[in-house]
Amino acid sequence: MDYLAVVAIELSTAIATLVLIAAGLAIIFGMMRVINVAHGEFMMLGAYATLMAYTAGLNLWISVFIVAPLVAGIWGAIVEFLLIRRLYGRVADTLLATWGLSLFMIGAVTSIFGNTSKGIPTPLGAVNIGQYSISAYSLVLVLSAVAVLMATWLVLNKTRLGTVVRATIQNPDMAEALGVDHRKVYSRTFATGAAVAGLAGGVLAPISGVVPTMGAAFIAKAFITVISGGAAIVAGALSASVVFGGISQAVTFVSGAVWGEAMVLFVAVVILRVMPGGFSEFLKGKRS
Amino acid sequence: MVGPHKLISVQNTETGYGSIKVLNRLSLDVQEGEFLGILGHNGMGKSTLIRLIMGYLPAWSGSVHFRGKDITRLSIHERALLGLGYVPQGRQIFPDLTVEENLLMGLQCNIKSKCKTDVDKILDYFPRLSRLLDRNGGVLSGGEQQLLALARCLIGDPAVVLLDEPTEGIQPNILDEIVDTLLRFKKERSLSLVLVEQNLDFILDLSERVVTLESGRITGAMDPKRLQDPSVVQEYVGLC
Repeated sequence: MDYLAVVAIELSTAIATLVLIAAGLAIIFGMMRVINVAHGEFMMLGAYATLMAYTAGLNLWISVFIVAPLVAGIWGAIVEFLLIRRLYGRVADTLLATWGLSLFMIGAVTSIFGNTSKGIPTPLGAVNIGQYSISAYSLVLVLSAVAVLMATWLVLNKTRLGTVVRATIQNPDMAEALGVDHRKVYSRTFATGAAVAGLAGGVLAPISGVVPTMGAAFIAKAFITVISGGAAIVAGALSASVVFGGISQAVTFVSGAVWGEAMVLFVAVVILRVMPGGFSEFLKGKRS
Repeated sequence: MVGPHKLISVQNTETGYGSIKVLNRLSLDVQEGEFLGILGHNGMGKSTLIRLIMGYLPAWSGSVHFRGKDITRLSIHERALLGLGYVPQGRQIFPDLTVEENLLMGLQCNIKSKCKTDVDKILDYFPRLSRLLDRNGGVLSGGEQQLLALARCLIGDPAVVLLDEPTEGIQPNILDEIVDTLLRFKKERSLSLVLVEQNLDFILDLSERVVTLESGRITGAMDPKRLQDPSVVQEYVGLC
């Protein structure tokens, strides 16, 4: 029984981690179709912002939940203004530009902070379940993922802002004719995606360590999750995270982490071969 | 100098696509409260004129004024906020938004209760849309989409609607509804209309003045009643 509880918590943590890694990219790539290869570096920036704020004496939770998304969001707005704005609709150019951005961010952070891994102590300690012990911080991961998904869904579906964002991304020319400044909407949406990526970096920093190249560990998982999730931003990202998180964790239990990662890739390829629209296509089919 | 009674004034304007000039030193005035029809062959520049007024195409020369204000360099959304409404050819409904959300896009309001009142008010003019509020715009019929596009424009209470080929592929009973609604808006809210159309009956039903457009220039103006005379139509636009 204890073992089952521990497995369930580990599984939830794996799913939540994937949700956090993918959420920012789901906004920037899933909605806006901007291939942001620097997504992992926005997470890295959030992690460093958390580290710096915490080291400077700020409360850890403020560092994670306020400073990290704020810094990444502001940087996202600057990047959108200087770089991305000129490249909407130009897929290959965006890919190259954000790759360049990714290298720039890694280089800049390395030259400022050095190439050594720094740690933030994992707060809250451990919780005992029977003879097993797990980190209580897992709960923070799960709650953060739930909060990010719920907030994204609520904003997109229940507010005027969300309606304007969805309409503008579907047809910017028509939105303009209805009084919407589409550049402003694009800029703010990109900054929000960057802020969510920064938040993910901040939340994951205490368990992953902080190093300039940490983004590389996240980028592939983020793209696999978002592409397999498909057009439905929240439902797609959630279902892809549940399936991939579940598979990864199950296979890792049996055969180790390398096989877990490999199996996720294999399943993603099969899913996209069978359902090119990803999990959203499946969910849409169910509804209709 | 632009007179205060002029709603839209296009003066000596040239524009086009790439290096191809479509409008050639075109001048046109639309009066407050006027319903103006624009007739012309395909490719003569009717839609280009509408897109120029709305700001989708830059003026290469000349100027566009709205209520005396020079809007030549304004962006599309700035013109929309001044009171220019646009219903494009092909309707451009947001397909993945519900009918209600499409309507809300036409409103510049953030107060939920006010938005709801405005939606209810517009549904009074478009009762056919009431039962479709929860449907996605993309699944509506062509006629329903045309009604929605018009309602989405009118809900924001624009001073003028620029209406581009609204009859394309639409069943006659919906066209009648569109005519009745626009005339009601004119009467109740002093709406102005610039209508680009090839359907002569539709132009006849709505326009108080018709101008003809040939090779990027306004070549004449006439009383719409003259459109009932086939020889006149043949002479001006060759549509018979």
